[in-house]
Amino acid sequence: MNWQQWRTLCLRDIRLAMRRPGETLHVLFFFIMTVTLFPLASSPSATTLQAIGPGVLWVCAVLACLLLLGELLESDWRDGALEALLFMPLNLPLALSAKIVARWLCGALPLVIVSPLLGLQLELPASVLPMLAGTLALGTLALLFIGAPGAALILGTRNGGMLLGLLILPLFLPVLIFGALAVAGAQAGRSVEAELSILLALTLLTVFFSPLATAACLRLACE
Amino acid sequence: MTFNWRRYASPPHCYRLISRILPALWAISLLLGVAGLLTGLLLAPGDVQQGEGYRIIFIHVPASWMSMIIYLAIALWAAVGLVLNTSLSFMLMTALAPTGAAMTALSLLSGALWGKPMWGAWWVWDARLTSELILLFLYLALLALRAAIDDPRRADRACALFALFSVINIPIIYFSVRWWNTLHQGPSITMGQAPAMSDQVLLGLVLMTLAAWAYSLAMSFSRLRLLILQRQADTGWVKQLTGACR
Amino acid sequence: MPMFEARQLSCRKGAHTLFRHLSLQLAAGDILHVRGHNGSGKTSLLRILAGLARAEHGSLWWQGVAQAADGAEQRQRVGWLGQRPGFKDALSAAENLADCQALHQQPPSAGAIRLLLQHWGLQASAAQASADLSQGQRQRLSLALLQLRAAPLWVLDEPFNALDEPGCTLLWDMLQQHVRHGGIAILSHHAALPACTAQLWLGSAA
Repeated sequence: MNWQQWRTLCLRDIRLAMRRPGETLHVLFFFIMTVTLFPLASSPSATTLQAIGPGVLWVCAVLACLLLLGELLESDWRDGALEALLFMPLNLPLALSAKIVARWLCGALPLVIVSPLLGLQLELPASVLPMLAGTLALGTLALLFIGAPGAALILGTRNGGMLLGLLILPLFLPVLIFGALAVAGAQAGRSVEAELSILLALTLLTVFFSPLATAACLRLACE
Repeated sequence: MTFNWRRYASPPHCYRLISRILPALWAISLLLGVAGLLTGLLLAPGDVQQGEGYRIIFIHVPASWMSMIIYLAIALWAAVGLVLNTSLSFMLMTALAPTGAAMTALSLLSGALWGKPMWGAWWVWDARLTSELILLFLYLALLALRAAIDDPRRADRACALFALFSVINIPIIYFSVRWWNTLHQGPSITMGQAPAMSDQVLLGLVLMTLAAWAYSLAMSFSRLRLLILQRQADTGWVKQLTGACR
Repeated sequence: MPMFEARQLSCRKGAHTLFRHLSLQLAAGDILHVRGHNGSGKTSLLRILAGLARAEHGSLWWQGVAQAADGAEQRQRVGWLGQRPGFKDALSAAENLADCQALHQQPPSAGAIRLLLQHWGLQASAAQASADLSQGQRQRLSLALLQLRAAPLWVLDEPFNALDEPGCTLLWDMLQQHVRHGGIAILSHHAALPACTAQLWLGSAA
């Protein structure tokens, strides 16, 4: 597996996402809409929104990542592109990491970009917004990597989409906790160096190990 | 002469072995359970601070331990199955999961029953309770994954991979929940028992823990027996066995 | 010594045994035609031979060397044509071929792709999304992708599906050329194929 192949795979998925922008936009709108539901369901008062804001944004990002993961391998599995990948002279875990990175660039990055606007909507102070976008950028990458084995496991199963949530939401917990804590800490004016370090460590660990697990799960789905 | 462990990895041998020890295992679990409950409920003295309510620990503590040990055992058998490709390991893994889920549910339920008189609430966002809840979710995910895959061989491997992947995550989840808990919970709740545990309480706990072990083994082995028959339905020895029963 | 060998393969679907103790030996230049009724296990056998699925028992041997059960080595020398197309519908035929070239670490060559497209009669629709191709054209594209990959062992599941007569001729020429150069081909098809060097009936007892 060389850089050329990695780039080819990544660019192919980006190109595919560009050809069908609908999917990416659906997830983005889903994210915006779910965030909007919270003030309507609780109260529009600034104190309430400030208290729940970081958590709301993070939970909605987690749910959006769940949607992104549902489609991460599904279409490639359906049309046999994943099967074809198994016959290529390449390293499967690395190939999968290319797909996940492409997914993050096309699907998660738009969420990160609009998140400061949604933060403003939830009355978060402007000083927190860079922290919000930054942790979400790192966190969504970690979430996509953590969830990738789950996305491979549900291929060809009944009710795969519903099952995916059950499988990987518990595993999302650490990223969710430290991501939301970092934003809430910054909001409270606390030092959040520890949270950020842990978030970074979690991201690095998953980026390294999860493609291996995903490859094993994928191999199973293609049998 | 070397001990041939692979002999016991073959389903017919395992089936016969289990059939032989299963009645004894049930008897042991029943005896230990009765002895443990008698010790815990009658012999052990009431607690100074908690009165009689504390006695639920004789259920709660063994159930919590078992819930964690069984998940570890599942992951262990998953690893063995994936490495050695022995169908029996996968069957053991499958047989353990419902018992583990039941133990986790029991632990949560007894925790809630204990919590109401102790803290005045059915549920508190304590680190240990929350982790136990996450563990229950993982058990349910494992069961759901198996139910969603028709081909038993694929289901075995899928569940094994998930069990391994999640068991690596469990310490991280526990650590995160504790971190989150210390930041959010002002006065920490001490869940431990009175520091000086009387001998009777200790004895009751030990008996109940052993009973929980025996029960879990007996339950899983019963399930394993059925799984072996189900999976090997088209082999000669099962046909012979079922034919003999008819 | 046979180039490719399968020993004592057996395969089960659920509680039902598809085949048992199936062995075969193929030398360079062989074309094996796998036949059988629907549900006799043709596709399952081909997936095992290609290194995709695991056999319940048995092993694959390549030039006298046993292959690992996970099939990773085996897949590296197999050209696979399955029931699923294996290319992306949203990309054009030319793009699919170019990606395949890059993934196989071949130097990018628009000329080679043009030649392939011409050979398979796809040049007119080379730029449109593959989703718009007809069934036969899609099969041709799959075969063109297979040709791009230089694999010694071809495992083709129903390669004649949806092909018109000129298409079938093209496929035959391709197969003949492949085995002339020392390759092996294994293919499944429902009807008789006289040009194959060997035939395997599955589930003949049934």
